[in-house]
Amino acid sequence: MSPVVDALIPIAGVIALGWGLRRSGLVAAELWAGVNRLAYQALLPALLFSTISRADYASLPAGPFLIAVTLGFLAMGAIALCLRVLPVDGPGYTSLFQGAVRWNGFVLLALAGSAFGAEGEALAALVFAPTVPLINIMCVAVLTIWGASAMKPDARRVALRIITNPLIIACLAGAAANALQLFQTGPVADTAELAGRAALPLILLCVGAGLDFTALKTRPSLLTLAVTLKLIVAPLVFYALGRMLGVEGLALTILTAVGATPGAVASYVLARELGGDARLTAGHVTATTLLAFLSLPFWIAFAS
Amino acid sequence: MNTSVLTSVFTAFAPVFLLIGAGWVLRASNYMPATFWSGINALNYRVLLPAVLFTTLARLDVSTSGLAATALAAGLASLVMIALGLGAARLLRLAHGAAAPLIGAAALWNVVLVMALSERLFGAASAASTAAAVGAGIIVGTLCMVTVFAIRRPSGAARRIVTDPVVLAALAGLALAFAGLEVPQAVMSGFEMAGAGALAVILLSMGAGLDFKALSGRVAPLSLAAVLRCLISPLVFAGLGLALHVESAQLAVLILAGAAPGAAYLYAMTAEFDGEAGLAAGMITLTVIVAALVMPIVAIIGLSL
Repeated sequence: MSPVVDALIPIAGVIALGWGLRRSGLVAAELWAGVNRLAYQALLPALLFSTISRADYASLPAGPFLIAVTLGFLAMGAIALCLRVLPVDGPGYTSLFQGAVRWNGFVLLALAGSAFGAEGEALAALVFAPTVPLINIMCVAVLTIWGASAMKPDARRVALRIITNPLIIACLAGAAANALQLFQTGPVADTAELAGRAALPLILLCVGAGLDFTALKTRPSLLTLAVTLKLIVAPLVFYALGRMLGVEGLALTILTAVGATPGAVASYVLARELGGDARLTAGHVTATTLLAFLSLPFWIAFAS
Repeated sequence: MNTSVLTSVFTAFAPVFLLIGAGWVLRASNYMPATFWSGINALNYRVLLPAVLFTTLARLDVSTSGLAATALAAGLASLVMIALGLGAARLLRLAHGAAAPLIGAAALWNVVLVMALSERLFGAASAASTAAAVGAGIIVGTLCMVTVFAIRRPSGAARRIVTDPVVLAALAGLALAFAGLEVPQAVMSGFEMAGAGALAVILLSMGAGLDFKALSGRVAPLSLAAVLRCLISPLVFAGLGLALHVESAQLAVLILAGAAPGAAYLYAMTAEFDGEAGLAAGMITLTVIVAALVMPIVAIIGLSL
């Protein structure tokens, strides 16, 4: 079996376990809020810090890779904006937009480590720094214009939320530690490493617990379009941009895989908060998560 | 004593106790308020800890020399500690509410902390002896506790044993190890991945559960719990280990286990058997503090054996 498929098997297993725990009531639905928060706001930052602070970027084509990733998300935003011409209601459109531009780094981080080694992990971790603020700003703007909620986000609150986002702080702190050669060994590095090791398993369990198969039946045509954008258009766009910018080898594979990752649970939270179509988003996250197990190996084989 | 022993003890302990501290900071700062932790605790106890125990014990090579003696010593030590806990409770004439957490604190040690520390201190080679001590400690400790409580308060104790996920997972893992059965790697890798997160998450939630307010008052049961758990227990483990001729590398693991703080699920178990949960929280908190001082000393002794 290929290393990618080998690496995907436990990932699928842990996602299935999370789903089973929620469905059976062994860990009831309302208990997952705390697990989610710990995983995304405490453990994932620790993993990003730990990976970025110790990676050897001198030998990696980090510059062109990061430019291509950023342009890729901008291009997906532009494509999704063009689709506003479709006869779709506002909230439904915001879910289409979020479905097209948001990515869930978990699968990639989990895969990159086991299938592509330390270099792959180092590159995948870098993606979070420029893209988390960019994607958040795009999604909040689109939801503000077309969402159904009367509550308008306060620009200062949005800015504050982005500046204080623990993922961004962790990436920047990791980059600083890397440049200054601080905290690469010793108790702080060991603690971050130990905590970071727990991030992916917990996130995968949360992803499984969040799967909602009944939501797959909502608005089939719009859902199909959103899934196509995420799993077919996005990886093509990322691959093409990479080729144009001269990104090669492992970096090109990771770049294409970033495009092919499933939708993110964060879009569901934002959709509920700002009046998007939360149900459609839940269906999108569920569909892309399941289909990613077919599309990711395909796109990785295609790009390498 | 050379400095390299001190360095390796510091390197092993610092991140483990820093994580516990980080858990406390997350909760006390309200970044992750107390309500969020109930889901994490449920996940720990029902999924993550069982996953770790199952994968560790299922892979145990039961033919490794000296494992039986280690397991026997750990099991017997749990029995002795329960007896000492019962005796101490009688001596202080404690009511059931205070006696339950005291007996629990005497016998139930934190296996997660021991697994995390033992790997960092003694390396991967210690995994089998750690697993043997942990398996025996969990199974004997929990079963005896439940039996003792069932005699004192016969309410649903049998059901408690049958459905305890930690004990079930430990038994299932051991059964596979003794039967020599191989679980398909595809299934095992999922459990391994889930278990990989367990140590850090459980250490964080230990920290989140620390309750310094619970330390005020109740001086007698609290200090007795700390003395039994952190000072007498390592001596009992060491004594039984020596009496049963446990080899020195495994003896080191054994006395580290003896000196571990109270298990976090002491809190849940106390509540279930109508004990004072607040007192259990105080006992866990105090034993974590005392263990932070005693365990490094025990580790230095263990490394020089």
